[in-house]
Amino acid sequence: MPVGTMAAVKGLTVDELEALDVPIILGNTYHLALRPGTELLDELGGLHDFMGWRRSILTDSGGFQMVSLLKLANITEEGVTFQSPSDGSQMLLTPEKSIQLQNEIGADIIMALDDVVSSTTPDPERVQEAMHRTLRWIDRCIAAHKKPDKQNLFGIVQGGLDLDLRATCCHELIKRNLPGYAIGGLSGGEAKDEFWKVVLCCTKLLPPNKPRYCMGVGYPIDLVVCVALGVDMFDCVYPARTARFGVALTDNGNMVRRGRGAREKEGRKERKGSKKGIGEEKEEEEDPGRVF
Amino acid sequence: MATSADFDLLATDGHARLGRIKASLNTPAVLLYTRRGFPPPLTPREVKSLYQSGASPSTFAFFMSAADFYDDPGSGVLSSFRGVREFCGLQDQKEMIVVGNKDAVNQQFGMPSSDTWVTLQTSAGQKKVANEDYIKLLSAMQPDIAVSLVDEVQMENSDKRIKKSVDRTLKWLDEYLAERKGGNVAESVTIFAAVVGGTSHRERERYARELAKREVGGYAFTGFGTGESEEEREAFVRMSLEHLDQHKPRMMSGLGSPDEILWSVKMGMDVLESAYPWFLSSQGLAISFPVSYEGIMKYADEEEMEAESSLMNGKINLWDTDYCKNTDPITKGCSCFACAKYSRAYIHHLLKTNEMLAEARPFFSVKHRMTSQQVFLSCHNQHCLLIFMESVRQSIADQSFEKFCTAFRKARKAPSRFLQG
Ligand SMILES: [Zn+2]
Ligand SMILES: [Zn+2]
Repeated sequence: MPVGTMAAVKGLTVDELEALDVPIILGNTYHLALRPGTELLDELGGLHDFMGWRRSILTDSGGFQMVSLLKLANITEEGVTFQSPSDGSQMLLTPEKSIQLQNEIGADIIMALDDVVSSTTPDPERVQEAMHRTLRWIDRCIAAHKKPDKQNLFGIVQGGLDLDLRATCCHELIKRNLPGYAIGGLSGGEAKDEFWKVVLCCTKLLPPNKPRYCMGVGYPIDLVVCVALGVDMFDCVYPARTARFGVALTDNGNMVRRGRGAREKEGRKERKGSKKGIGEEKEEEEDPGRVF
Repeated sequence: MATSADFDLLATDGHARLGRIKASLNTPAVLLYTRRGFPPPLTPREVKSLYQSGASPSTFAFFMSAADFYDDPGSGVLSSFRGVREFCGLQDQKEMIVVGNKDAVNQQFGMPSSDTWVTLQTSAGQKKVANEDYIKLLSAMQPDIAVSLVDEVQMENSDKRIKKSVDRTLKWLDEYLAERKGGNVAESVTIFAAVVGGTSHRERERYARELAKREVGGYAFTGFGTGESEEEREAFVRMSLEHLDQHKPRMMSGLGSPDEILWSVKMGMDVLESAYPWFLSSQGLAISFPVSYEGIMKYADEEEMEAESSLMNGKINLWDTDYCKNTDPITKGCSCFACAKYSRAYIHHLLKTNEMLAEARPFFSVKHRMTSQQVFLSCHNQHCLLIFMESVRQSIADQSFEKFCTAFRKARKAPSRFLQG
């Protein structure tokens, strides 16, 4: 899913996305709530009509953005507390509020609010607490969901790198018979060997007839391995990010924009993707410590 | 009517001319503003959408600035392609490509020059560009029309400076024509001679007489829009035109607003360089004046109205928060792809959130971030200008150009609420 943060995928029109046969894009609830506002979107018939996109949309819960973007976010049983970026006042994103915002945006797939902790958190009790809280919150999300006939609510598997916690979370979520499931809390800097195990643990348990979305995974090699492990969906900023740095993906690896001298010599050869004169970007996934 | 190899003059109405250049470009035509080879911030897909919405590639062309290609990629890289058309991936596009000295928007006047070089603003800053290198670059670019190098003067320059400018521009043209004789310029390239002469009647006449002796495909008027009045401008253009071959096409640079376009057509210009759509789009403005022939002629017999606002006549500003919930298209009844699909509310949102669809297209925007160019506004404004030119051509064919100009003046002043629907 290309990421269209604020009702537009950077650098591409929806016609171009359709021409690329993109079936679904991701919108960020937090950003859309700021601009243009979910009430306005609701009034104008939802995000699809607003941006002229006829295919599917998935929105996130908004929680991740708050934790990652806002310094003073704090998680309690009630929800995610954060400081308003406009006036500094205390705000609260509860599971109910997240679902309300997503109901107003009107995406085809909406995500439950979860309690996210970094996969490298050294505190096992915190990881356990987050998993159990995520389960309590999923029930609040289900109860708050106003359009279950139109919008598919996905639950998120938490539990850090602890396979027992992951298994418990999977079993509990499956009981709720949700339209789809996400594997969350990964890509936080954990070792690859740990990462694969968690993904496999979840995909083995999750029902085969429901889509599985692995959150925050985006490097090509990770996509391939996750697909092999049974994952169906990813959010991926890799194409946009590489394009921004002047990198083109080719069969021979990543082609990096270089100085003028090299291009002068190569002329049209370079265009054909010949190895000569193309700077090979060191694939970042060769670094074993980094998955994302 | 009269025919030369590169220009068919089909009809005239007063001095206004209806014609066809190189059997493919219907004139009067606009040259779309490009940056590094393409109209910013559009893609070939979006330019093709302009054809689908009523324009045809035979009614507009691209104006490319040689300065945009001088430093990067340079003639070395370009010559390993079949010219700038292939380099820019336009081999399937049918628009004519016209290459002139410099960017229409980043015009700088009074830059240093000598008997052998001028100063151009390239992608790597100001560079002294020798005529020899300019010709080499044009030969590598192989456009359909190439304008010779100009030693530009400003309206306030002295007669002595003007004479120098005429001498240099003529010498540079001769050097280019000699290259052509020597077989170093592709057959397909038509050379337009830059027309100079500043405010000097004597120099304009001398230069025009010299040009008349030479085998050039057309004339490119430059140096206007630097503070002269409309009367002065008219006089200067007439001074040159009087002695030039009537059967060759004329191009006007630097005057691109609808009023300037109509003025230029009235003077007998055939090709007009216009950055107007880009300029409006970069400010979040959209054309809302009528552009169809019928839509404009409706106003021919109307009372002249007081303009609603002299600034906004015939335009709307999408930054205006009034549009935040407006689900109408930019203008009702417009057949452009943006109006077919997107609301004013969405375009307002894109402007406001800086989510400019162009922003992530570094090819176009690296050095020009000040512009909030916007794909949908650009499509709409380009489309409107192309339809407007279609109407201009029709008015000449109908022998009603003068009436059309009057009607258009009134139509633009009409309050915008009358213009929608
Ligand atoms: Zn490609
Ligand atoms: Zn339009």
